[in-house]
Amino acid sequence: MWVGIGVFLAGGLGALSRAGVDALVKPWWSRRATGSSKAFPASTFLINVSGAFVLGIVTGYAVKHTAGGAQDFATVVGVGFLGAYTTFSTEEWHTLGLLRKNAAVEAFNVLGSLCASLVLAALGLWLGSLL
Amino acid sequence: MTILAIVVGGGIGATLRYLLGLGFAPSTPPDFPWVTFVINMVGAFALGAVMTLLAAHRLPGPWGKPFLSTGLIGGFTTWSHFIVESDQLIGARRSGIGIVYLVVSIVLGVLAAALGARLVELRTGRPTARSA
Repeated sequence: MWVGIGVFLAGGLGALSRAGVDALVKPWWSRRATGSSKAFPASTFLINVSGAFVLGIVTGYAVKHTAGGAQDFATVVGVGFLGAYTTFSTEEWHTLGLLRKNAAVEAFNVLGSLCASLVLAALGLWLGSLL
Repeated sequence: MTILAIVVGGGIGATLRYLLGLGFAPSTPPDFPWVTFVINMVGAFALGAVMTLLAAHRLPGPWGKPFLSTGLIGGFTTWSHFIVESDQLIGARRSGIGIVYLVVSIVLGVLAAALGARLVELRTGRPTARSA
């Protein structure tokens, strides 16, 4: 029950953090980027890659520490905050939009997001197992 | 108001995902992560529909977009679990399943978003022609 409430609160905070990063990064990127790189969804990229890295750490830690407290902590932070902070649906929505308009940026976005996330999450899993 | 809509939507989305994970365990590697997979496909479909409704000015009030898209659907779907599960599959010498999970999720996710958008377009007419 308490874990469920924790997931609810952490999920709300995670979604709000994503909106916050979006509000900061989107205007910055549209000022900085030139040409077709303007179409690159920089804030979603940053959110998803950073969230995957931290979830790697949390998961690596939870795999090593099987006590109830550590598991509950990992559930609230991992399933609640990081699950809600990162977003699959927006990633796919951007991909669909880019497929229609800008295939080169689309390929870069999908492959870049996947590769950076997979490598950093693997590093996170390893780092978390050391904690 | 916007902040509250995002927090409540995100909280509900994350809790639904948590309850589905509890209800349909075990879905974690080394098995195929069905729960996350279905969540992400449903969410991609729903976001396609919601964003198209938004473009057609069919979303309710100022809270419609922050609650539904940023909050509920954004909080329900998850990129980080999708990635960590893939890494765990690959680490557990299930690289084949891991790569299938990655590719199928990305490809079907785009198709699901397109389907959601298309269904709304068929019901509301072309949104781009209507928006100012």
